[in-house]
Amino acid sequence: MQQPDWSTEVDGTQFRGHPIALEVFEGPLDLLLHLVQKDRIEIWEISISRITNQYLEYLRTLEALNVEIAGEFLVMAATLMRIKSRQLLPRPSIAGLEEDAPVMTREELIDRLLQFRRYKEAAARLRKLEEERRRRIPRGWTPELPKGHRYPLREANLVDLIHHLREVLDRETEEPPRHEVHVEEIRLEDRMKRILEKVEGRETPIGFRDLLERPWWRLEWIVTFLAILELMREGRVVVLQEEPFGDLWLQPGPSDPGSNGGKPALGEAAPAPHESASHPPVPDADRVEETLLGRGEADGS
Amino acid sequence: MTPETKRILEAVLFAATGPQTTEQISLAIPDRPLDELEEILSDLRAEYEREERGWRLEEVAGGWLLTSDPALYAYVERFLEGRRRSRLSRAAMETLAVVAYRQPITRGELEEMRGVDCGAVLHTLLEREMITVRGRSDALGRPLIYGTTGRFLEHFGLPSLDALPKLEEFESLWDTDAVRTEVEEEAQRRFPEIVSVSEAEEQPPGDASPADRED
Repeated sequence: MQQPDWSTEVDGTQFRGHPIALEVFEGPLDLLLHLVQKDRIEIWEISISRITNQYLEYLRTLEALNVEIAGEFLVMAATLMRIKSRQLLPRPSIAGLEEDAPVMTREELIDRLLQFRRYKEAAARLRKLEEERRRRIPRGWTPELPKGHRYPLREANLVDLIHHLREVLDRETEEPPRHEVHVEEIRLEDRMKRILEKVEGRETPIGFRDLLERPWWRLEWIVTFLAILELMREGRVVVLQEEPFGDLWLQPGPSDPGSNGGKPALGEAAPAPHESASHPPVPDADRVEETLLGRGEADGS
Repeated sequence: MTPETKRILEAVLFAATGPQTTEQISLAIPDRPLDELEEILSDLRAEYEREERGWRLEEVAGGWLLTSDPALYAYVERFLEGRRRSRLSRAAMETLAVVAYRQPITRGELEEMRGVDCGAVLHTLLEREMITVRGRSDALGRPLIYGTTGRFLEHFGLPSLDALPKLEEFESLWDTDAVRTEVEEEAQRRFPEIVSVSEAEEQPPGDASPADRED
């Protein structure tokens, strides 16, 4: 077959190679199979040296054409060269290397090519079945519209126009949705003050929920919690909790000026002076603190 | 055989979209035993063929499906004005072939066999419902495993996976690695003095013996 002149100027280098249809090969094995079949030899007769040269020539061509070469093609190139070099070197000298670096042997490459070809043939057979099958139109089949197909346009009549005008007018006269956002501020200091006011002068601990004035307001929950943390740090309140994730109970802390001075410091055993049936048993303050700090969980948040 | 039942089955097949199993068809006449329905459906299929109707009853994807007679496709094609049943791309077809014959298979195994990245193709095949996720492999990282679907069988007109064309001429090379390991184990069991089969004599290329050899 007479080849046309394929030489092209690419990147200043004269390319005089074999014509190659790009994007044809489904990966390096596909390319290798093509090279073998082009030579009209059986897969198990391949000469690694010859096929490596052909393979590299193809990659160089791609490079000359400025085509980005997929990584798997380069991996195969390296593999081929490795097999080739192993064939050239005397065997004992590389015996030690092989143990920790298993490489593909010629036989494995042949196996992979045979396997690859087998599935290529399987694909060809499936393609034949597909072609046969396409000649049967099943009940209930909805045809896919061919490319460039447009839905036919229907002529609109007066009724359609009026109908659409009505729709447009209805849309225009609707009050546009309006939503005003008021930014409300809540100051940590204010919250701390309110909490102290509530905690002080009480016989029994007060629950976290009872501290909230607007319980539906998420920001108040957060700031209240921060305020409690701050008050705890300053030792002005003691927070008690019956169980992990349980309700938080507050009572005046030892350093609170308003307290009666008989309160234990944090870390000491919690007092039991407020025993009453209406509030929960007071747990050990150590455990409470541990739970609070360890878990970092607020009540119900 | 009751002509009544036959007519009911015909009506159901006409109303159905996609292949229907005999069980599904039996919803219409639950009092009839399945094997009786199966027999009548087979008769129907033979009848359409014998009487050269314009349609055929096909056994596909484990069910029954009315289709036009493929012999009349030239006419149907003209009527369809270019609206054709879609074909799979080459990459999709080659990937699907591996999945079909090696299922269940992971993406890694698939890419090993095909020598290329298969992510995009797998996505296409999943989207077209040719394959489906069958679960996870026990291998490291518990990768997803894929298998073919009923729609795959329907696309190729196969009654079941058993009807896939056999790849017999390659049967001896089916799973070379597994065979090699087997042979090696067998050899070591029988001839413990031979440490490894790979130390065996060089064999001429083309020999189908799966023994491991070094170059």
